[in-house]
Amino acid sequence: MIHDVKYGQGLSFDYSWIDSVECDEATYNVDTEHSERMIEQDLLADKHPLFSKIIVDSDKEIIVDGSLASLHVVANKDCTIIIRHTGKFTSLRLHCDVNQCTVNLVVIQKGERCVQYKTVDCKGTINIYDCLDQEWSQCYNDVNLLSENASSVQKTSTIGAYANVYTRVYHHVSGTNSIMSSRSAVSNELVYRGHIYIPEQVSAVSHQDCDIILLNDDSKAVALPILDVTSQDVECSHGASISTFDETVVRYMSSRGVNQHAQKILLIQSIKEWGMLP
Amino acid sequence: MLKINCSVSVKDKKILDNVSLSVKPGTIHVVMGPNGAGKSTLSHAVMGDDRYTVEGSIKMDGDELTSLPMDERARKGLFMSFQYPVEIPGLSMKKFLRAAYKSVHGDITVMDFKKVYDTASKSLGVHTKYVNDGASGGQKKRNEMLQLKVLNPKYALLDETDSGLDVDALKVVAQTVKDAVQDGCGVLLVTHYLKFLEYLQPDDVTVIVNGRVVEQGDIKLAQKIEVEGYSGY
Amino acid sequence: MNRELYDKADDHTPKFVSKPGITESLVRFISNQKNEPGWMLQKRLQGFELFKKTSVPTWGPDLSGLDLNKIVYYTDPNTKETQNWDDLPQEIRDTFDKLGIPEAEKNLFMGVGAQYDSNVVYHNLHESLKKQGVIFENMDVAVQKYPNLVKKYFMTQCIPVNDHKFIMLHAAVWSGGTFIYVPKNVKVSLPLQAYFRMNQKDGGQFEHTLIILDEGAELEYIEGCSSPRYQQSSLHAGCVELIVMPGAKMCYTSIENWSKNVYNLNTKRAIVHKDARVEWVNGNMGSTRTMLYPTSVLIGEGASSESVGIAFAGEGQDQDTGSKVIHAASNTKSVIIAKSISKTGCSSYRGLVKVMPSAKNVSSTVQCDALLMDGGQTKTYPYMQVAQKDVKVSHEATVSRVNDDQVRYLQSRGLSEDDARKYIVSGFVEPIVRSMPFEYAVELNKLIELEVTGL
Repeated sequence: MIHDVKYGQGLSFDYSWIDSVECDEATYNVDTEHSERMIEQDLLADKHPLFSKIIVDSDKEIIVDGSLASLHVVANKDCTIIIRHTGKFTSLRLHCDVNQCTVNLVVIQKGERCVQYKTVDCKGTINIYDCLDQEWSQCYNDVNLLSENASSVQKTSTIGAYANVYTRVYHHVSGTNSIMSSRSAVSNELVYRGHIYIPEQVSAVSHQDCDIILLNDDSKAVALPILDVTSQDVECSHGASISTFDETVVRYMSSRGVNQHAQKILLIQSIKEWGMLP
Repeated sequence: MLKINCSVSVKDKKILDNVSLSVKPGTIHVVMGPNGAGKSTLSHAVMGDDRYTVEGSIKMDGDELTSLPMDERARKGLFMSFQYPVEIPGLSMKKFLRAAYKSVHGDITVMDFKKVYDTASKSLGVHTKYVNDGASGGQKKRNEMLQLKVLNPKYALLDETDSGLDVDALKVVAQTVKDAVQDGCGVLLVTHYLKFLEYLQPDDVTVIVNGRVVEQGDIKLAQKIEVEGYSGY
Repeated sequence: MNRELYDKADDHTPKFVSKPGITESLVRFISNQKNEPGWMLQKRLQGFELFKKTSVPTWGPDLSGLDLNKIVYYTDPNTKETQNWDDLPQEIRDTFDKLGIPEAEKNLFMGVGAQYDSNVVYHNLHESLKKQGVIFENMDVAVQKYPNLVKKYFMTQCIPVNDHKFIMLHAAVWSGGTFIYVPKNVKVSLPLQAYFRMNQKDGGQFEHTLIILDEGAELEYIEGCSSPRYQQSSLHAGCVELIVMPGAKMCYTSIENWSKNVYNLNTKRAIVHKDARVEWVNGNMGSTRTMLYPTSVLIGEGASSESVGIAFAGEGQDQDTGSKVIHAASNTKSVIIAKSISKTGCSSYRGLVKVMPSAKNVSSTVQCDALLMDGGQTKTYPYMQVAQKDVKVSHEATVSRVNDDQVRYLQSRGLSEDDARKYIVSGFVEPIVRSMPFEYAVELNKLIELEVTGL
């Protein structure tokens, strides 16, 4: 049974308060609304096929062909699942059930435009490694931690030109913990949102961080890490930063004779590798 | 005299079984034992940590302590140096200690307290603004000693105060304990190293293994342990 | 010290109380009462028109308990503005005495203003400042006396009339408040203070504060607010505009301690020019709902801003506060420190850091910490929007509770459990309290103690 999660629930998030400040300079907006509308249309049309169910008991690589795909993966034993999805425009809906085991989940999408909606009902441990290196990509993760000792790690590295990342974790029961970590090098535009939700009476540990490095003069980024905590018994923190290259890193690399262009490449590679490290 | 004669359990699990020992004023009583023997439980239970259930009796100078909450016991002159002192960012050490001093010894003016505090912190080489905030393990232990010095208790429970200290810090801590003992303070020292005892001359030694007192004696017992370890028990 | 000091209503009978609700004729009436020039009436009417068309914002706290048709928008106290406390009607004088305002004026401030419901009842400025050309006036009077300055800056470039629903309302019915002008290079050594008291049942207070610091000027301004507690809700929708010219320095402190049935929907914004600096210090203790995000718009190179805030949310309170900074010029810096304590209530941090494409070498740090007690709730919405790579923008937030280990530790030193909690909370807010003027720090500490240990 697929948990009742509406994809991109956060679409209803109201941004109007942000624009209540007028400025002399032409107001600058990242066009989140536009991209979100696109997804909404996509959802309304619901052209995705029905979920096909796959039960996984050992390490598995799943190859998906064709633009639109819906997968329902059920994992009962410790395993690593790699999903490769190729097509010109790829849109993947993935639902994953984790039952008393540890699952490493890697989704690799290829195409000009890639969208992935992932929901995970976790009664074990889920580690999600996302690497968004496409020209244009969107990634929505919803993790529900449903049993005691359930834990999740969401690592997202973004090095694509345009990206919209929204990762969320919902601590349904006590004794759960989660980590959300995101590193990005942005050449054009990035919107990052993280959302931690801990309801009443639930004791949980949750950490979230997000580092964004802007590569070009006209790069733009928006970061909105949200904490939503009703419970008292929590240990919760988040941090986010937006900056250009770290000066000390630049100095160190330069002293080894690496030029600016190569530095960028090294940096992008390091982020990509970081995203794939367990 | 601090007389301990009790069993201690946590969530129905018995940690200490019929432990019986006493600390005389102006003396040092060392409790030794391997890891997990229940040594720290003893000091926490005596201090009145409400996570532990105590059966039996803990008497200080004739007063029964078992039913008293932690703060009451402190006001009666009991002190504990924590193995892992907590950090409280933003709360100044001086302000906190004055409040503690007032509740233990009665009112004191800011100026008078400053003198007491400054003398103590100078002699220990401690300069901390907030309670243990950002302090290293060694600094935290010095901070504990500062509190011992300022609060001047009748009996002090030192829970692994020697662990994680370098030689210099060890000397400072030992000197503070010696001073306190000279002033008539009875010290219950929990440790599993003998090294610390080179600086202090304990009067009594109790060895606890698996929650039970297995042997009691004087400094010679500690020296025996140093050679033979706990495996014989 | 107890809550009653603030919560108890005074026995003052006002001269005029408008009927509940807002109409065009009321807007015209207020303007007429104040004998305002045509352009101000136009501004009010423009605000009223926009207000009618705009809906109540839904993105923040629940405002459904606020019935805008039941609010009394204009209450004229039965007294004239004076420079002598003794001239005030006894019951108003008593109120301010109890709050300690005249006493504080003697020792701590170079000027004090006091507003009672819709109008300013007391205003006085130190002679030495008058001689240096400092203007410290009731806003109503300033419209008449300094039309050029007011016309140029009043709800134009800083907070335009169409900004949001409650600013539109404010424009329509604003009354009283403070106007300050500090001439070039004049440094005001002691703070100026304003105190706002809302006494009318179902009342609304809509004071307007406009402060202009000319080049190189310095000023510290403190505002305090309180109101008695009634069954029905009251509304406070003030507006603060700061114009900080090149090289000037402004520090704005406010302690808002409205009673717990007030909707405090306040707007504060500063335009900060080249090498100028603005500091916001905010304490939000009272009111059922607060929506307040002091904003600094850094439009000149080298401008900087610092905002520190503390919010307390008890039973039934929803404190939605935060701070916004717009970096619109290069080499600008901002710091935001926000702390909140939620004790059964809800407190949210909602902040914005926005870096314009043309603003280079910008640095901004945001730190917000929430402390939860007794089933409190906290939310954090830090929004960062950056369109320039040459920046350092960072945000950090933590959520914690009063730690049992900390309490036990303090108890082991002889403190009672209540005292232990009190000390831990006061340690938590210490960095904020430290940045406040002494008398206010003491008051704030007492208020927090009062709230933490229960009423």
